[in-house]
Amino acid sequence: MRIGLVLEGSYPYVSGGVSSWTQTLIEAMPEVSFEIISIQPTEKRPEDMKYALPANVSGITHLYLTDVGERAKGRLKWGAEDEQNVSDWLMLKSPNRQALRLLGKEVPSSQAFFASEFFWRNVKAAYAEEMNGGSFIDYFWMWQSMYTPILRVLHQPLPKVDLVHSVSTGYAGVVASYMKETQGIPFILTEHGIYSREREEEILQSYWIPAPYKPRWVRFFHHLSREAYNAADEIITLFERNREYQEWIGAPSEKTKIIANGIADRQIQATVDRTEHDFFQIGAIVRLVPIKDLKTMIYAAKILQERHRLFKLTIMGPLDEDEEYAEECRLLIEQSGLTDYVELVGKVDVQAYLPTFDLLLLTSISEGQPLAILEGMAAGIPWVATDVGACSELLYGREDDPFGPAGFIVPPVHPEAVADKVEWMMDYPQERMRFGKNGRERVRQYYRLQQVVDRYKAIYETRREQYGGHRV
Amino acid sequence: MAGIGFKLQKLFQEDYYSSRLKAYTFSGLVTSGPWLIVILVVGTIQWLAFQMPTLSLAERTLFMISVSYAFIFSQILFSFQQLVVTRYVADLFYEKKAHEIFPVFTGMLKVTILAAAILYSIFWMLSPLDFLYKLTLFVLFMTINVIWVMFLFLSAAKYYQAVAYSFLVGGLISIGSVYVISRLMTDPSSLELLLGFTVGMIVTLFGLFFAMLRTFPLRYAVKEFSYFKYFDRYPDLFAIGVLYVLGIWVTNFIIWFGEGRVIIADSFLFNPYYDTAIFWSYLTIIPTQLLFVVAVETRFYERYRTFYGLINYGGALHQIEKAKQTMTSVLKNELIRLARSQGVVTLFAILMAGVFVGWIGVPDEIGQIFRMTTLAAFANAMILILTLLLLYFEDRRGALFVNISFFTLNALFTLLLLPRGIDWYGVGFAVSTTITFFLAGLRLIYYMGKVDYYVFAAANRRKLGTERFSQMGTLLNRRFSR
Repeated sequence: MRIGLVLEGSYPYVSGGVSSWTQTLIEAMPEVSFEIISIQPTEKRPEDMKYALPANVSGITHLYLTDVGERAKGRLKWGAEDEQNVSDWLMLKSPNRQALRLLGKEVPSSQAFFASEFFWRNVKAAYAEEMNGGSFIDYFWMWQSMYTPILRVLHQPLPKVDLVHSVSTGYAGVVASYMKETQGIPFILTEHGIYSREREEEILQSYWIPAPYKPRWVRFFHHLSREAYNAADEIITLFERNREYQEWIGAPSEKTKIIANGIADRQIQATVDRTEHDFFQIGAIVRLVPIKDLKTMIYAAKILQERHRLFKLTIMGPLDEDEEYAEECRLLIEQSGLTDYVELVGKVDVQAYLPTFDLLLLTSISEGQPLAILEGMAAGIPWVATDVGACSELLYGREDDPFGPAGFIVPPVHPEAVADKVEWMMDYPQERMRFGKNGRERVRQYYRLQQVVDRYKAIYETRREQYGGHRV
Repeated sequence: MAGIGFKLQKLFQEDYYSSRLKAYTFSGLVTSGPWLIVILVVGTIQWLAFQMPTLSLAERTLFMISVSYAFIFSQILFSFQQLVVTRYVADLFYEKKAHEIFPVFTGMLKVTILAAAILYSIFWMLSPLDFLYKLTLFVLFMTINVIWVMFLFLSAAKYYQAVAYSFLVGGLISIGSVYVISRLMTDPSSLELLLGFTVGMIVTLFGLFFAMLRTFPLRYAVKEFSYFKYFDRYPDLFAIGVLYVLGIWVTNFIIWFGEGRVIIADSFLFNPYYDTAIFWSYLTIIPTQLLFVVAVETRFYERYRTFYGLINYGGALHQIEKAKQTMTSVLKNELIRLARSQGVVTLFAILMAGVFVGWIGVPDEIGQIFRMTTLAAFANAMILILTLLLLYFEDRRGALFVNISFFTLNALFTLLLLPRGIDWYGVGFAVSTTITFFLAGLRLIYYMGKVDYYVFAAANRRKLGTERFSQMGTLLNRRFSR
């Protein structure tokens, strides 16, 4: 079986959650062949890869989003019904795979499409519908920049596969929906973060998009997500809160499903028994980037120091992803007089460090389902983490969870709350050990890599059968 | 998901349209001023020649036809580069690269001189005229060719005054020298007339040349042939320029082989009836040429700029549509006004043709043909104006279509009616120009209706064609121009 894995802006050129998940999934299914369909804003070279491709990767198909300036040849030959379909899609009215097929197969060139009277009529109609007299040329160019990447990804050669698995909505979702439509194959969607919410935040914060255009850009990305939700046979996400978002955006609940991240069995350790030591050892497994909000963690450390607690906080993670931010953190530690308490150790072998910790900390302001928490829980270490992403679900358990808490959840950007919970952990070693044990049991029960792989395998098999088996 | 960003792009950042409008208008139409002077000069010289009792009709005709040939063929040579270079120079002005214009002038000059020399050497080999006459005519032909080229650049730089004075002074010197010759010589010939006229043209040439030096103080000679790339980019402009000029003369060329043709001095084909009629007919459309410049410069230009300004500088759709309506209705009114004014002149000329024929004392056939060719000249003037308008709106496709029709129909109808003899001369020209006039009008109406769509869509109709001429330009730059 050959599976087309559609990835947008990530694997194998960017490291991080989605990419390592992808690498793990491919490696865990050596009998399945994967074709990587990598959507990139600009050209990538083999030396840009951050991962060594496993042997069962048949190849990488690159789809670039930027316009190549092709010649405007040919004309649109659409009937009224075709035009209505595409028109509704461009107007972001409803998902419509027929429209995608037309945009992909029945457009001679993207230049011809943008030069067509059909496109012109739609821009004018949409402008009349939603604008209150803003600059028309800007509006026109917004439309073009909105739909250029769509046409671009649909007009590049796509591989023939037995099943398409997209690891986000957005352009990747569009490509997967289109492949399902044109090749008659099943489409599996796994969403780690909620794409349309991420784009929404990016758009609202951006200064380069004029304010009047923001609502349309936001609606556009919601529209792309709805298209993927509508086309996908299965909509998978990592945890319950994301599943609710998906439903809220428009995913039919009967298609949604949770498959969490998993931890390899070798990482699930025997009990760590460390009751006697000089300092209370705290660990943080984290990339030094603003979204991880290391400063809250450092402020919490300052509070603990002021309360005359003895502890050692070890922050493990690459310092080179956002050097400016890493430097700010280093300065903050220095200026707060915390150099004896807090240490930035850079990228290290986390597994070797884990057994030395009494407690792990996470103060992110945004997360999906952090692998770090699973790793810590697997090692039997309790957590204090912020109430983002799946943290609460991991530490407190989902409904009907028999194991009890594996740590504490605190509100984001709240150093005092973090300090209070750390102090509590220092003062109640027995409880702390029990939290660690709870976590390990929960991981052993629900978050094992083998389970994840087995469930994906089953989904691939069932859907493949349902759509008529092997073809490629 | 690691960021795939997006950003809004603007293609049109500044008001490019106005500068193009002006360039086309003046290269296309300010010609009428100098033309008028030249025609008056030739007319006066002819009249002077009438006053010379010893000068034979054959000698007078030889002089006249020599001058005509020099003008016709230099204009055709010029048409190969005119619109393309005009566009290139307009773009350089717009991009504030005025310092790159002078090399284009020398480049175009070199190409023109080479082409003219090749063309003339063919004539030299075939013609039995004596050496001195051929040499003088060669000097005149070259002078006129160079005048066209400088004329283009000075018009683009809007240095009209210098142009007008040069032509005026040159013209007066032409007349003066012919007058002096007629007084001093006991037995003047066509050679003396030609010499006198040539002297005046050379003076014009130098006047323009000094104006060039003053207009373009920065004079490099680097990359003189870079403008060749515009032949790749705007092959349609090239075709429009050539088809229009050939379209005008193709009827003459065909009729030179028809009934009533004369061969002058074993060198020039000539049709005394048809050529004379055409010459007078073109005088009748001078009002259009003047009025059009005024109409464009004043009333139309404002609306045109508003329309494109709203598009480029962020006008709302309803503002753009309103500006489009205003522009369209002003344009319509101006065209009607123009057609009416010219119509009156043309009608007057046609009605009075008989009277003038009797008065001047030329054969009646000329009067008959004149009525037809005057009608044709009217339509021809309108075709020129509509072509220019289509070019202002960047409808090169439409302008090309109009000029293909102009050339083809003129050639076709003239050929078809040629066997019917002299009574039908001019009819083909009149019919075909009238048809083309209507086609051009329909095209403009159609295009104006959707001009806003075309402005936006045109940006996506980029052509990525061949690079043949660009490569040739680069090669020539390397070999001959540093």
